[in-house]
Amino acid sequence: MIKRFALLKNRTGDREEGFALVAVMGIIALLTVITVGGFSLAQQTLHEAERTKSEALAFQAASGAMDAATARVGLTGYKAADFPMVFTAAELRSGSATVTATETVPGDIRFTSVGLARDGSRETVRVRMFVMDIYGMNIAYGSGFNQNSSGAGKFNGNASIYGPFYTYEDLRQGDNLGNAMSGGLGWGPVYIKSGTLDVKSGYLVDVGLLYVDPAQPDPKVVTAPTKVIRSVPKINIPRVDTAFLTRAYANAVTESSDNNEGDPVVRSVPNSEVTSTGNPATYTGTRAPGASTSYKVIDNDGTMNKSLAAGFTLSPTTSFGKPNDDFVWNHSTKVLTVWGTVFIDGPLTIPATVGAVTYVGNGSLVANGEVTIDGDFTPVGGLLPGVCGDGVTRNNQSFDPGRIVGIVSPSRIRLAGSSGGNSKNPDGVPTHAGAYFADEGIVISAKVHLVGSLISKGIDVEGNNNMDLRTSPNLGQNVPKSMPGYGNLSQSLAIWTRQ
Amino acid sequence: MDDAAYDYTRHRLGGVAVVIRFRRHELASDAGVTMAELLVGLVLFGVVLGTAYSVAFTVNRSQQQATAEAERAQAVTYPLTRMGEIIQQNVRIDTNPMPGPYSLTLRTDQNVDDNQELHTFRVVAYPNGESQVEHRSHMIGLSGQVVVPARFVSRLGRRITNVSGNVPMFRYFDAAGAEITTLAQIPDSARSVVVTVRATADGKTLTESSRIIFRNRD
Repeated sequence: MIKRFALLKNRTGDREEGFALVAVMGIIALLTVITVGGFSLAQQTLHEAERTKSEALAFQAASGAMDAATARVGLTGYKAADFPMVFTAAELRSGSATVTATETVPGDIRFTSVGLARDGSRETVRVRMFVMDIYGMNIAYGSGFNQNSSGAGKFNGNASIYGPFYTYEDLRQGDNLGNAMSGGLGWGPVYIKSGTLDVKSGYLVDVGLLYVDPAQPDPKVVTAPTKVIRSVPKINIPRVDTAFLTRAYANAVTESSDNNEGDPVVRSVPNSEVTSTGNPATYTGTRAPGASTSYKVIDNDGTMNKSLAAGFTLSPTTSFGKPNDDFVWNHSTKVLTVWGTVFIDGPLTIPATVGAVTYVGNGSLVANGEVTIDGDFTPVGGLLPGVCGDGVTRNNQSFDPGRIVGIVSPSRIRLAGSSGGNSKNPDGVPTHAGAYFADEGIVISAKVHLVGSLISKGIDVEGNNNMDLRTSPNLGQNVPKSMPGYGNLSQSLAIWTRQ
Repeated sequence: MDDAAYDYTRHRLGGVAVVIRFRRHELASDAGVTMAELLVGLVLFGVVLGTAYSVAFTVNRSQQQATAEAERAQAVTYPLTRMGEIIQQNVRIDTNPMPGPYSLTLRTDQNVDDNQELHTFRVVAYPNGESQVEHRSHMIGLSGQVVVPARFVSRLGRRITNVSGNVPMFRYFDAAGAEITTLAQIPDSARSVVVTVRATADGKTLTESSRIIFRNRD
C-alpha cells in the first residue's frame, strides 16, 4: 500500500498549494540580491581602483612630459616658440600631455604640464625654472656675502648694490650690512638662498623682486614696493677646476703663435705675433717677465701646476709686448692689452705702485693662484651709457665689446685698492670694471665702485667700506670666451608642484 | 474514448461550467506524495539549498574582502596618498606649531603664483569617538601672515589609532637618511618624512607607511 501525505496535496486535487515554487523563487531572489549587492560593491571598488589608476597614469604623463620639456630646455635653451609642447599617448604610453611655458619676468619661467589619461583623468605638474646670465649678476653662491672674521667688515655708509644680486644666507642690517647703507639695494632682483633679508630703518630696498628662500623666515623689509617671491633657485655655477685650467693653458699656448688677435673663433683679426705661425719661439715682441716660450703663458716649467710661486706682478717701470699683440703692457700709459687667454701659473698682482690701470681687448687673465688688484682697473675710455635694470638710461653702464677684461682664479681675488668709492650713485664712475671669477672667494678691502660682475663662493668684506657694486646691461653678451661658463646660461629648477 | 479510465471534476468559472477530466491513475497519485517522492524532493531541495549557501558564502566572503579593502582605502590609503601629494611639494616646514610625531605644518605654492598655501596635518579625536587626520589649509598673505578663515578643512581617514597605538604618524629624516629626533632641527634639516597611518576597524588594525621625499629641497 502506498502511504499518501495529505499535507502535501489535498485529496481532491482541486487546489495546488505546494511551497516548492515559492521556496525556489525566494532562494533565487535571495541569491539575486546577494549577487547584485556583491557585484555592485565590487563594481564600486573596481571603479575606485580604476580611478586611482587613471589618476596615476595622468600624473605619469604630466610628469614625463615635464621632464622631457625641461630636459629639452636644458639642452637647447629656453625658446618661447617651442611651447606649447605636445606629447602624444604613443610617446608617453601612460597618456597624452601638453606643456606650456610663461615668462612673466625675464629668466623666471614657469612650466605647466597637464597630463590626460585615456579616460579623461587630468593631473597637473608645475615647475619653475630660472635661466640666468651669470655675468649679468653679482653672485656669492656658496658661503655668501660675509663680513670678515673679526666682524668688522660690512657694506657701510653710502654703500649700494645695484642690479641682480645672488647670495647665500642672510643679509642683515648691523651684520654683513652696515647699520646705515644709504645707497641701499636697487634695481634687483635680489636672490637670497638659504637666508632672508632683515633690514630696518635707513635702508632703501627698491629691488622690484626679492627672492627669498621659502624655508627661511619671512623677510623684514621697511620699504613697501618690493615684491617678495618665496622661491630661490640653487644657481649652477661652473668651477675653475683642473679641466678649465688645462683648457685655458692650452688656449694660451695656441693663441701665442696663431698670428691672430685673441681667439680666432671669436674674431679674425690678423696680427704678427710670430714670424712662423704655430711656432711660439718666433715671437717678435718683448715677452712679459716670467713668460715661457709661449708669450701668453707665464710659467717656468711648461706645465699647469702652480710652479710659478712668485707669480706675475705688473711692473710700474717695465713694459712688454708690442702693438696688436694679445698681451701687452705699456707702463707709461698704464694700458694693459689682453686678447684671448693669458695664463699665469701662479699668483697675479697688480700692485699699488702701478697706480690706476686701464685696459683694452676682450680677454681674460687666468691665474693659477691668488689675484691682488691694489688699484683702479677699468677700460680705456671708461664705460658707455646703457639701459639700467630700472629701464632708465644712465652713463657708465655698458662695455665696449673690445674693452672687457676678465680675471679668473681657482683661489681668491682681492680688490685691495681704490681711488674712489663712497658714491652710492647708480651712474657713478667705476674704479673697477669687468668680470671677476674666483672659486674660493672675492675679498673687498677698499671702497671700490665696481661695475660688472663678481662671481665666487663668497664675497667677503674687510673693513667698513662705503663701496658700490653695480651690474652692467651688456657684460653677459660680450664676456670674454675664456671666462668660465662662457656661452651658457645658468638653468636651475626652483620649485616643483603637483595638483 | 474509454470513460472508465477517467474521473471528472466539475467547476464553475465565472458562471461557466467547466469539466476537467483526469486520467484515473493521475487522480490517484494526486492524493499525496510517496515517501520516495518526498525523499527525492528533500534531496533535491538540499542540493539547491547547499548550492545557494555555497554561493551566498562565497559572495559574502568576497563582499567582506571588498569591504575590508574599501575600509583600508578609506581609512589608511587615501590619507596616506593625499598627505604624500602635499608633503612632497612643500617648500618649507613651519615652526609654528613645531612639527612633531602627530602634527606637521608646511607650506606649498601649488599654482607657482608666489601665493603660498599653509597646510596643517594633525590627528584629531572628535567627541563622537571618531579619530581622523585633519587637513587644514590657509593662504599665506603677501606679507607672510596666515589668512583666516581656512581655505578648507578636510578630514582624512577613519578610526585613526596612531596616538593610542603610540605609532608616530610623522618621522623625519635628513639628507643622509638619518632620523631627526630633535624637533627643532626638522625645519632646516628634514629632507624626507616617513608617514605612517594606523587605523583600527572591527578589531582589525591596518597600518601603512610611505616615505615622502621633499622635491623642493637642495
